[in-house]
Amino acid sequence: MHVGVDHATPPELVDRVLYSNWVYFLGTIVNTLVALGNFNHGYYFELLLNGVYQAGFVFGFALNARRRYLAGRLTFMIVMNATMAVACAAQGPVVQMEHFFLAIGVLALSMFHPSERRYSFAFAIACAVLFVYFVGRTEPLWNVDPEHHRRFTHDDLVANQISYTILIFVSVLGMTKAFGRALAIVDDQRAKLFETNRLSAIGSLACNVAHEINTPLMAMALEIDALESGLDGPSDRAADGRSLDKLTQLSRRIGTIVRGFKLLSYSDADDPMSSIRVGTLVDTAIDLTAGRVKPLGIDLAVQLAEADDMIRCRVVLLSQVILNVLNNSVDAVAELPEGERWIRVESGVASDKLWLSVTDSGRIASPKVKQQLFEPFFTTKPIGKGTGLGLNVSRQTIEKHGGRIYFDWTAPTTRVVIEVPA
Amino acid sequence: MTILIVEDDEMLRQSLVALFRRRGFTVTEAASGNQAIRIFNADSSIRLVIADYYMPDGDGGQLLRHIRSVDPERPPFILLTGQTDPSVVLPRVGLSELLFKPISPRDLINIVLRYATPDLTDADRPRP
Repeated sequence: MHVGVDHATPPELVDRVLYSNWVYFLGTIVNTLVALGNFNHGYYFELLLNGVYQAGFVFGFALNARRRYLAGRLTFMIVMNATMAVACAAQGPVVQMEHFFLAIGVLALSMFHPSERRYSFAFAIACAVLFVYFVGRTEPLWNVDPEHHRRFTHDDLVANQISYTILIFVSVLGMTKAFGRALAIVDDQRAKLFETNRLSAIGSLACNVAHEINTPLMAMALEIDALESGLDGPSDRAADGRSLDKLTQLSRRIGTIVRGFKLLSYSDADDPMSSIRVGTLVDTAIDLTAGRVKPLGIDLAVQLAEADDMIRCRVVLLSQVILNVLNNSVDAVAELPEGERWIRVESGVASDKLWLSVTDSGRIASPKVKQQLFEPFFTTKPIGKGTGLGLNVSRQTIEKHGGRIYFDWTAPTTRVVIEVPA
Repeated sequence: MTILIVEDDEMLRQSLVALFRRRGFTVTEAASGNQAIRIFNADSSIRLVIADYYMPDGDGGQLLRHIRSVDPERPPFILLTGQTDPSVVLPRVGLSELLFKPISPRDLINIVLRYATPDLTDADRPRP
């Protein structure tokens, strides 16, 4: 079943499964081996190097704990490469430290998500260069401790080679398997969650729409009753005309709502790129939130500088994003006292880009919340109200359009800006 | 005796008012809960209230609470809502009838007739 899922799994989700299990485990083994193998010579220097190494790991852990996964991995890679390079330079070819670069290189290739390929390639190339540079040397670059320069026997070297080979093999196997499994699990869960999210969104939309339709439907029944009662007695042509006018208007009102609903309940399977007026795009989303905006007494102002501009986009997906952002604003201002609830929708063109902003009277103060707004499953709404996927999905959609969506924190109240190529 | 109709949707309110006038009732109208409270406080001839639930500026629930705080039984209160969301808890206490839009004009009139009688008979009813 096609459920409109972006198959590129966000790296932060994969990291949760992978990161702590493998990367640091391997790092710790390497670290321990380095410490054991070098205890006897250049003792203070090794101690210092290990200190830097450990501090780097702790820092990486801290970043990981704060959900800054990419930064954590970059720290890990940089610390690993840098300390290993210093160790190689100081100890020379004898200890054969340079072989670790092969393991780190393989690690670099597997620990980054396909969407972060630039990092994995950069680190893999750096590792290869460092390996080639150090493997060909006959003397250390910088002999820290010439007096205790330990000589390895031939057997030691063979044992070293074997252990490096095993380490590399295990790491490749483990990482590849874990990564593949994590991707599969996460893709599967995401597919299910997206479908749930879409269905629950349609469900609440359906309630809204039914509410919006019931009122004009009832008014229509009353107008028909008025026309019928005119049939019995002397007819009043002017009053009948008014009734017919009202019936036409009411049926148009229902038509608009139903069209909007139909539009938004599609998944993206049949949503090709097409052109649409900016005004129409915004109006569709606004019509669908009307059912919530009006009862809450929200002052909704729309100011589109380029309402007649045409925009090429996947209409359904982009409408869904606007509806998503508008719904967030409605939820946010609903918490405020009456009279302080307002939402402003604006648009304009700036340097080849069309921007659309939704500003509401809500305020997001917590820096922690600000940082997590786009993360999947993060929500500030009560349980059962928000899935925490709205903004995450919106961001993926907008990025697919080659645009971006962000919060403008320079505005005094909450302001979300959507930017797409004009 | 007067029926107070409270509905924020102007078109529906006009149609409701017209329906009850055609059937010989005296009708007064309000576009919000708070406006209805002001009218109710000022007009002692109101014998029945028909109100929407969701309205800006004072909803049907607030109106019901106000009216019941004045008198726990009179006048009868009919809530006429378009609400379909099962998670919204509508007020039940003090309510005479809970009706869901859309309801046919005939059913609505039949229910209203349980609580109110028209001021005018069929014979002297004004022609539309």
